[in-house]
Amino acid sequence: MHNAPMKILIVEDDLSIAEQISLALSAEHFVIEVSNTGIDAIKLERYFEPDLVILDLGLPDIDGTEVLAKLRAAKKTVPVLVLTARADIESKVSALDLGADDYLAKPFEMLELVARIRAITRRMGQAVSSVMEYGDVALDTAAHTLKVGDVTMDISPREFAILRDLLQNIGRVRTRASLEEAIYSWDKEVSSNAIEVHLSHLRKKLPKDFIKTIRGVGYTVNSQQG
Amino acid sequence: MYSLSRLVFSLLMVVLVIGNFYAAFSGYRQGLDIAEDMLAERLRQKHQLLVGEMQEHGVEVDHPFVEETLYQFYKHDEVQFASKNAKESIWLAPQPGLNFVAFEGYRWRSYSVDVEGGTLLVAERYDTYINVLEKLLVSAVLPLVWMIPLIAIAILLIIRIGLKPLTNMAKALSTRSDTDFSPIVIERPTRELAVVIQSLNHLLAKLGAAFDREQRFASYAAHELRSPVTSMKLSLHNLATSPLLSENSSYQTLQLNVERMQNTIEQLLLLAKIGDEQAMASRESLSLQDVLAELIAGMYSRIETRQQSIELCSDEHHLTANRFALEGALSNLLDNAIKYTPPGGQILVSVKQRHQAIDIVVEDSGPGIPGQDRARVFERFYRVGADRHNSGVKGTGLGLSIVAQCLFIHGGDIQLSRSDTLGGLCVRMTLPQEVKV
Repeated sequence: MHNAPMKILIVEDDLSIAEQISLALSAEHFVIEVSNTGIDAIKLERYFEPDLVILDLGLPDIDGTEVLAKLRAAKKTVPVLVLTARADIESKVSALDLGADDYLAKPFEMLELVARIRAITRRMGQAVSSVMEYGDVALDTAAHTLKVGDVTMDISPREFAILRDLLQNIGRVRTRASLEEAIYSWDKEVSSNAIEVHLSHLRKKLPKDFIKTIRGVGYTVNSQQG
Repeated sequence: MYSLSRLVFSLLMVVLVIGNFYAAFSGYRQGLDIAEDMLAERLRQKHQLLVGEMQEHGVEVDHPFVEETLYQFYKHDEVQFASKNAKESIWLAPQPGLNFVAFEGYRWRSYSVDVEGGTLLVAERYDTYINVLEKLLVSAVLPLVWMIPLIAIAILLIIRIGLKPLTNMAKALSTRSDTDFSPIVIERPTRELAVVIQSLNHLLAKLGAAFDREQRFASYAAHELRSPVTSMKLSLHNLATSPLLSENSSYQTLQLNVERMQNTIEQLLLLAKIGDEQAMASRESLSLQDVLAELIAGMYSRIETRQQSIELCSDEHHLTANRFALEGALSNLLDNAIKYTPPGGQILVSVKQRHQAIDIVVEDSGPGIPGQDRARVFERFYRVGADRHNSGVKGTGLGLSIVAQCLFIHGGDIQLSRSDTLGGLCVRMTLPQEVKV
């Protein structure tokens, strides 16, 4: 993990929104820089070197998707979180296709924005530390080991895939279908029944009620465990 | 409402029947008059012939007329000579000239004129003559009557051909959808219709433009409102860092209303989009279980904050539907259940197959809706008890209109009742499994 405060570039033409986001994020101890146009944003990115870009798609000069495309064309790997008033699936898909890391539709909750930023940070941090932590649970994604409290134990590839997916999506419910997709790379033939089998094995290794079941819907990491 | 073609047809038929019968009748009458004249002329000629013969051959004449003709020559009431069929009886013509006389039980037409030395009477059977003539006349006049049905068919065809442009237009108008404002095109319109079509097209264009404006306005306004609402929400979040403010009741009212405004904007956008027929025409096969699971997963943070429990009870059910409309409707049903169920309450979502239809049932342990209010729920902007119900939630009233629009698009049905299992509201949405495109 970085020890220096995280730098965030906010690209947003609506001054009041930009101001409120920077106020809130400053309170979370992030270092903020704001740009109101796309061209400024590209220039600013070069010397500010942010750890994260919050990018509004509806900009007055060039479209947000173009800013994103330019950043990616310049081999910039900085994570980009896209904000937009366009909530349709097409703009979401095109933003993600262009290399956005996450997507938030306006109007959003500040808490949700902060949660998404933390999720992106976690994914970034993973590259450095390779350990995902939540409460008493720590999953080592390099060694494929699970540590609960002080006890380290082995974990099967499928259980690992499920737990990693759940830990990557703290605060969100993962439907059975999306969990199946997540462990597809580990197992070519997953039946939903198998998911439940793996989950029950996994549950025995985790603290009680660490994974919460929403019957018929899916699973989530219990927020009270954090 | 009367039919134009029927009216024209009946009027024409009345005129035709009366005219034809009048023509037939007067033809018959005229024919009879002519026949009478002809008979009189013939009697006169026969009389003349007999007189000539009398003068040539002396007094007694024996002319071989056919049965239907007879003659008598008499003087001072005494028959001097007569044709064979008249010899036996003696009868008198009442006066000179043309007369009707009865003889041997038949009706005769007689012609008597005084000649030298007496009176010569010639008579012909009137009844047989007239019978033959009547037959002749009737056979001449009857075709006029027989023609009536043929003419009727012809009139019918002519009316149909004549009204074709009108019926074409009626068809073109009745088959178009409510939101189709494209100009009416009729091949080879008549001069009379062209005017109508032109003014109709003018109206349609105006209406279409107004409709477009309304559609665009709702979506544009809502989009434009999203940014200020976002700003307001973020400001509220930042203000909440000061406990002095966040505990103030004015702050809480503000927060509640910003949320309400956000909700209204989203519903208006959804309704504007669902109202767009072109966008709603596309269909895809959807797994209801997946769709519902995703929707519930997306709303779970709200359910969790309200400490409610939710359960989805569904097997694999596939449905051909418009994803956007279906998701809009389902999320509104779920949203209502979350809103109206008090904290700690229960929500149960279940999917059941029924013949060619699928039931999606959302039940909750909330206050429910009293029976008399259930029917009014689907009126736009109507809210139960004008929001005085104890859930303390302000709704936009738009949500169920979105549900109703989705049902309209898919040809579905909705029923509100009391939940037997949870005691609150039970909403049963029924959709056909295969929706016609």
